[in-house]
Amino acid sequence: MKDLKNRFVKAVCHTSVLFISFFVPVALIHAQEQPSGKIMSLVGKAQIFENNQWKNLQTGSPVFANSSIQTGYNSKVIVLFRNGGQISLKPNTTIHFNQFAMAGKGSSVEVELVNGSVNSFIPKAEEGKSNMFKVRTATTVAGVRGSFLSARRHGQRFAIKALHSPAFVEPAPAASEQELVRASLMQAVAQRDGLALQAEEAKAAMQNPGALEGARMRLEDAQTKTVMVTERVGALRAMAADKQGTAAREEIRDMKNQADKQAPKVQGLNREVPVAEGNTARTEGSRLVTPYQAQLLEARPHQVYMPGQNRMEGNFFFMNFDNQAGLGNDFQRMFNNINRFGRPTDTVIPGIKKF
Amino acid sequence: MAADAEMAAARAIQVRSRAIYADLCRLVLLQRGEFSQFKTDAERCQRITALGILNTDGIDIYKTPVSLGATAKAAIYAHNLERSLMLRLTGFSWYALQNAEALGLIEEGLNTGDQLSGAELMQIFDEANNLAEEKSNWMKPENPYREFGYETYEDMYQNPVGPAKLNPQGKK
Repeated sequence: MKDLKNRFVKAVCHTSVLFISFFVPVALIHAQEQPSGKIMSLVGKAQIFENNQWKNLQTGSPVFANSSIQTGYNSKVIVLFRNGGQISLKPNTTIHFNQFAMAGKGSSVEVELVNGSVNSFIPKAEEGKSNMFKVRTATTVAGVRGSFLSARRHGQRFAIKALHSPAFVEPAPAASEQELVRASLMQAVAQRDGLALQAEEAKAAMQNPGALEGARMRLEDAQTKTVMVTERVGALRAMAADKQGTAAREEIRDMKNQADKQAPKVQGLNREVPVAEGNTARTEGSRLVTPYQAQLLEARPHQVYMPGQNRMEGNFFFMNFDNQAGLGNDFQRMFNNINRFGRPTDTVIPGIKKF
Repeated sequence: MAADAEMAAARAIQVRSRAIYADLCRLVLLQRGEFSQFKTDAERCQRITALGILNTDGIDIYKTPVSLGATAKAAIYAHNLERSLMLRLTGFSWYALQNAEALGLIEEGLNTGDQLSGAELMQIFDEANNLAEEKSNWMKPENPYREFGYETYEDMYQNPVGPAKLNPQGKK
């Protein structure tokens, strides 16, 4: 009887230790870590990636550095930062907060734009200080020092617009080990959620006798894969929590080496490229569209070629010369420029786009 | 899962290495806000066929990888983008591809039979969605500060931590 009691006490102690080691650090981290911002406004659905899972967001929810936010279709979110800056996430947008730092010399915020569009407002800092805001992709970093910046990314296409002060684009540094682990973890979690959805869908499809066999196979497939993906999620969680063993460290090192070797580069983007106020810069895969080229592309119909030109010649002339034949190009550009300078202060895009 | 099935579905498409017809059907209905109305992918694809966006009859939606031509056609039809005469006359995906190139939805020099990843599929549909939005907002003044609750940049600058009043109508 005494032996049984001892066992029970031991079991309770072990459970308590396990509980403390798993849950208390998470609670402590959030208790100690000051939120970088909060959700100021939410329309529709949005989720935040916290403690390795996606949770529904509410207005007023705190946002920490290293959080990720996703908005659904037909949804919008505004995040208010501690430094007074705000970032608005358009529908179907996913961002990671990479950095939020406030110091005596100002503040620095970096977000990774995974998909979608954001508008960001960062207030100008006091004299002698600087508020830096950066939007990053795998290849490019766009930044602005205290102003308004629009950024949009769909797959390989990334575009920024400097609306109220000059901005810049520069090559992105190689991803850190922590960022790689986080990206892999989020990918694995997305796969796991997708498999859960597949299983749910297969169960619903089993109601239809005609589709029973196919649905059963899809359900089995989802169940088998879920086991594997869940294991992967567990391993990546351990890596993210820095509790990994030697094998996991090796894997992270391999991931880092591979990422360094295959780091995608944007041709022509090897230093900081300034983007003047009102201008746009873009990267499309490995191609940089400078503000000058972006303006040409915006102002002219780029599918217009001179007779007798092939596409390559057309592009060469388009980018290098100003004697393009076709409808509404130089007049269009001149008209847009006049209209841009004369526009009312609260409209950014020229009111008249077509001549 | 049911509460956030839409968002989980969007994330699942994003990480798919090869997109299939079921993904395309899900994505179209996600963009239309009709995803939750249907429980199975077969029903979703039937809806796509009924809408005249893409004919999925007789296709194994779980095994058939979606081609670039089909995606281009579905994106153009789903968002009612400008169609070339030959696409209107024939409905061939090859003309849809040329059409999508001209609209700037895809890069030049790709083939109709090219297969896509989930992220690429989503990119084309998001570009099409943006284009449709631009078309509907054509000639309307654009005010990026309104979504933050301000009318002008000066307002925002003077009162940076002010209330961000967001409403679907875009009115202050």
